[in-house]
Amino acid sequence: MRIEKAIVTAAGPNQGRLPLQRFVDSDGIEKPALRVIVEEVFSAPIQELVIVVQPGSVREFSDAVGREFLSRIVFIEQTNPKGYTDALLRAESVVGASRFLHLVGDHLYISGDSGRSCVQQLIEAATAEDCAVSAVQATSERLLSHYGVVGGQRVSGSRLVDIERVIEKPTPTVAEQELLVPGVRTGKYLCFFGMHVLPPSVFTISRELIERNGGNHSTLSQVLNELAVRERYLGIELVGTRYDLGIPYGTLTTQLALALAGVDRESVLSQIVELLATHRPSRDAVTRSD
Amino acid sequence: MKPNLIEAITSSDPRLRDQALERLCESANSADLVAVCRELDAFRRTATNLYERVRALFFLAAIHRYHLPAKLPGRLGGLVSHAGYQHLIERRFDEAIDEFRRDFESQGPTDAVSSALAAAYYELAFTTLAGQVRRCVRSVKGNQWMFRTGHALDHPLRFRKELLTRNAETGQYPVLCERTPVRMDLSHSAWSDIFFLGMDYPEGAQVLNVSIDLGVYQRDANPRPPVEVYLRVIDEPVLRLASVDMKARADVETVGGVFDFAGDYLGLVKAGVIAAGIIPPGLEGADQRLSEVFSVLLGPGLGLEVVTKVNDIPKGSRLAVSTNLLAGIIAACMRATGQVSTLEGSLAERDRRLVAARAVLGEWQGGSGGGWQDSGGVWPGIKLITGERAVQGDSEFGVSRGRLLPQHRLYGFDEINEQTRRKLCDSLVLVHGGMAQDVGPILRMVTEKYLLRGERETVARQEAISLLKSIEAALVRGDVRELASATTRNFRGPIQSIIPWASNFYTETLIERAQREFGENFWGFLMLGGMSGGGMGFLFDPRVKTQAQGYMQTLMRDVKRELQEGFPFAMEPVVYDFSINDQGTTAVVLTGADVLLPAEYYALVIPDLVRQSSRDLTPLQRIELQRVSQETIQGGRLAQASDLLLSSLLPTMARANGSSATLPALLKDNGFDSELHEQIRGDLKSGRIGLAQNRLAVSTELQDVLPGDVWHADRDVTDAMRSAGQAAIARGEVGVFTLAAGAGSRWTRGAGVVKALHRFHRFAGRYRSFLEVHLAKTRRRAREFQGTIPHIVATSYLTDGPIRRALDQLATSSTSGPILTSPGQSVGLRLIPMVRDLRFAWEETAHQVLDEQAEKVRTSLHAALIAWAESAGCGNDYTENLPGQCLHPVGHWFEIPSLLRNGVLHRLLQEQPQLKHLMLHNIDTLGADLDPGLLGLHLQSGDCLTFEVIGRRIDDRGGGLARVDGRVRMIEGLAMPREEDEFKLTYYNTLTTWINIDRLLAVFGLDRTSLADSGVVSAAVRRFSQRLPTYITIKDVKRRWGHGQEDILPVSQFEKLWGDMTAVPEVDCRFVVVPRCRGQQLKEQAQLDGWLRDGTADWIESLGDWKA
Repeated sequence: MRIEKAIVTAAGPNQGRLPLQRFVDSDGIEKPALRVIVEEVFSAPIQELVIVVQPGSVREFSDAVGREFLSRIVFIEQTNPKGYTDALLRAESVVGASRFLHLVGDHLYISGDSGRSCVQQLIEAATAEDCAVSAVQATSERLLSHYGVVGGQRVSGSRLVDIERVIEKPTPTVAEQELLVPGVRTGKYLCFFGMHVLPPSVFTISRELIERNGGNHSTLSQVLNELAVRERYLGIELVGTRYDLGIPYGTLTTQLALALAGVDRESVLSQIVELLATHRPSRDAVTRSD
Repeated sequence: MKPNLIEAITSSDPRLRDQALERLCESANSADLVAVCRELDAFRRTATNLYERVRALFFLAAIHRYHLPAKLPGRLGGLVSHAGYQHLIERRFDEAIDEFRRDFESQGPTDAVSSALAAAYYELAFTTLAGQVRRCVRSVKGNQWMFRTGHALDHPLRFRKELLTRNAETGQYPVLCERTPVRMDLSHSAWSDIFFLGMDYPEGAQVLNVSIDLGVYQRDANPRPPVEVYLRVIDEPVLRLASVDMKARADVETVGGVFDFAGDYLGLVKAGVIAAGIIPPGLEGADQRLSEVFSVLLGPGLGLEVVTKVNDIPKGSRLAVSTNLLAGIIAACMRATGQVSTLEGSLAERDRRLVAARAVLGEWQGGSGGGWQDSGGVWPGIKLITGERAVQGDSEFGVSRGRLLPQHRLYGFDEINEQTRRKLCDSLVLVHGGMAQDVGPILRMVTEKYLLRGERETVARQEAISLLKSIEAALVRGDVRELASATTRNFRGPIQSIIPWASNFYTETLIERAQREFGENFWGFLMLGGMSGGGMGFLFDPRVKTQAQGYMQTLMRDVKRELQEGFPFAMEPVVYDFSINDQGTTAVVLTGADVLLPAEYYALVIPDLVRQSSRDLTPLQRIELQRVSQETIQGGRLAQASDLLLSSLLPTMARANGSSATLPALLKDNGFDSELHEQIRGDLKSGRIGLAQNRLAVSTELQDVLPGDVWHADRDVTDAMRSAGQAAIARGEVGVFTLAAGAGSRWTRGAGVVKALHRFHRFAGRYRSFLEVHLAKTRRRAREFQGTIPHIVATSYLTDGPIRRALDQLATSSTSGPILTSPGQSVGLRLIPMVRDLRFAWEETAHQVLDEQAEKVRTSLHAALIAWAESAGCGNDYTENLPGQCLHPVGHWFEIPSLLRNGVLHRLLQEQPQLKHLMLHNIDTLGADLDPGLLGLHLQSGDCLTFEVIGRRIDDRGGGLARVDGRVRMIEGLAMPREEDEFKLTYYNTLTTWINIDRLLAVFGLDRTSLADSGVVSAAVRRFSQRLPTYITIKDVKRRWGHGQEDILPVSQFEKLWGDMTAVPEVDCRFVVVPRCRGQQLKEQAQLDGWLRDGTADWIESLGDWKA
């Protein structure tokens, strides 16, 4: 089944105006993050995109997207928001009963595969495997508190993982017990990339969990954990990197990554060298090296 | 016949595998055993299976310790290489073994080298086992990440938001309060909860364990979970720790400070914080401030406070209070950081297992070591804890047969009903007997015996396992009387079959009197934990329980009073109220007006807060002070604690009957020489005397003695000598002089009790003290040879009263001759040690290196003790203890001068003028008796002194017999020019000396007549004493405080030693080599098991007349 619909959630209370943050992309063109995301979505043969936004922000977001794609985009305002899965449920009527692509509005991606974007790689895998697939990225355990994390068995000879468990923001204690995946380096776990191909059953599961939880919405990880129990559900390590705008220095890192992967690489590198040469930390400053 | 020990180790057939070593070695001769040792040593080097390797090591240790020496008669000689010894104490066991094996091959099998090999194999076996447990703890999933978090910025934990949100009204952060019960074991199936056992024999590792709440009888209204942990966020980036029971608190600002376990009394709290991952072990050594860690974990500018309280439950309760406190701290910290699923209420099973695994890690971090069942308080109710087979995928698989962590099966109320549980509570009187002994040596003995598969041990272990089934069945049937019978059979049977030292005279007295008082209504005894004397249970008919509680309280107090002079009691005995806890560890978040910590906490912190200027307080501290004020003065929830808070703020009057009042009197009464004291202080401070100055000049020529320098009891004693000796005894020419003035500090680790009166072992069916053993030997010789043998006991300020009282009870039954005491005439006052002496003792003298973690703890402790010495004033008088603990005996040389000065010898010689000789011996040389052959040898020589020596084993440190600049003499270990010199010496001093009284008096310039003139005697003694060296020593002294808490502090004292008499030119000395069993000294309780197993105990029993 072809994947023709997509949902981008950009209404999270923590996301704020991050999707509107402007970046110079790898082509040297300044544009909002949302525009970069939309270009990523339409790099694949997606026919229709739903963007879920905070109430009253449709105009700003549609300006950010630009006219070129507007005809294929539907904005839905998440009035009276009840969480992440609530945002997805708002888009259910548009995507209907088919599998759909889902991206979050505060991550940007740089593909390491010169021929294919990250979305293209994901859709290709989902089409080939004919099941739900979430992109994942090996991430240091110190960042576990930011992501949903998957555990399971590696599918032999591929970049795929047969997902058995999904836990939202686990502690390393839990991750070590539940979420070790063969082939992933010590101290790293497969965290969500912010990009999924999901079946319509996630909507059913979401509603069931709401009922089970007395009206409270679940996290997407809880929904996907249930999905892993019910259907074949894979993870894939794409050739590419996810940049989370929402973590400390996330926008700075993202901008540097875009610049170093693009036409302005030399110029940016020379500016960095100049910065390094000019600014030294004061003697008393604590160096928070990573 | 050469036994096939490798088959016994590797066979999968239990009939071959479970054969006892003693049976296998029975028919082997020394050549067979030497060959077997070669095979086993080669095997253990290549064996890949950990437990096969360890079993081979224990076999080797046992053969070298027990079996081979017994088959080497006449092979006393042999020298242990110093290089090997150096490897041994620095824990390079493999290298030590290689070195000792070279000695073994080049010298042939000898007692000395076998003792060294036994020690090295034994330590390597335990190190291998401990290493495996540690590796398992690290590799348990859920623990591993903590070891790779090496920088604050890598810290992956975050505090839960609920605990980071301040209350809008009060401004305070919420407090997470964890309450944890302790655990009581109804049966541990013969210590099967030791990790090593559970991991090798999971099928046999079974424990019936009950979580209980406690209250002190007649003090607390109701039992409650004794462990309370309070955790909250504070507005300073420090780790604030407080233990209200220890009255200790600290603000830790650096990562290094958290890993400093011995610098204060908060080591266990720190270990909990580390094991919970708040400060992960991977950060150890990171030169970082906690503000950096907390900035990631909590947010900038914030810190953490952990407060603990164990409701004044004393140490040694055998209820695993420490481990459950650790588990409570860990549970609270793991809840706060989301590592366990629930913030409040009880824990889920997987979370309990996680907390238990972290508690094991915490105990390792803190350098302590609990059992496998000890965190049982985390679980609710009654449970069966069993070992589990390791399976594919486990980190233990392929290494050990069992997993590190056991399985817990909770009994439902349908299995053990409510009525039975109530009946158990109504029947069992739970007590703390007041003794707080180190159970560590017992756990080592159990492990070794298990791996050697001793016949007695194997049968006992199986019996213990079947008794657990009986106890379980009794619980299921609701038959508590049968349960009591089974726990008693357990104590009487398997427990004491494996470890006779699990019981003691105190416990037996309590059982006997309780039985006598209550008859049929006394149902039985329950030993808790590793040994009795501390936490114990007495089961009664529920109808008499209230009466029994009162009775036990009085009984324990009375028996303690009777025995305390010879038993190391740490505290007054306590009776508990208890109830079964059906929730396990639980937590609640206190918010808003409920944010209150225990009153004792405020009593601890408020004095400091009110002393500070308001400007220096943080906003939260100001809020807290206001809250405490409201809750106290305005009739709030702390109103009842207002006295406590007030007394913490106001100065208290020093008690007039404190130590300072009686110390001067004691000094005056015991011949304290203040002039000499000031001279020693001056010399010590100026550096003229000290540990380094004890040594003879390095130019001293020191060699081992030559064959003709010593006599041998086994070949040089003739029948004629024996006859002469017998005749001398019959004529009343010989007396015994037992040195019992010392405190036996190694025996009870400085507890200051009278070792001579410690009834440590059953001889002829009754517990007897050291003193009784010596009197029994004298009695036997007197009866055997129909002579009158005076027995003099040298006493001191510490031992005189108790020994006199004990002798008053014994004297009526004595028929051997007069029993006298010779009170000491000299005493010293301990001094705060000089830092240079402490450094010399700890840094420049070879000492046993501990395992990695324990060594870190010790290093930190040494730093703290050096700081204590500096702050207390090096060279000042040590007075901050009980008066008796501030004084010190001045060395055994003074015992003979005291005998001259106190008039006892003079009176005795008048009453028994035929008395010509004394056998002087130390209280712990149990085998010394009036052997007529040795006496005959002494008589024939006509020498002034005949010293008994034994062939040296590796543990015999502290000097020996040597040629010093050509003279054959004893040399003290303190005086060795170089440490390694001691390893040149074949013979070790037993101190047992046959003394020709008249010749000794002549040496002092005295005779029988002049003994009557005390002035002449004193002058003679003073004159002679100046010819002997004065040694400075560092001794550990115990200071008790709180509820069974103890500090061990180093103090300086001086002494003159008897062996130096051999250096005086006009004293004729002879040296005779005696069998080890005769000369062996019992210095530490850990020696008892070997002493029993090698047959010495039975031999000593054969020397005594026990009928009195």
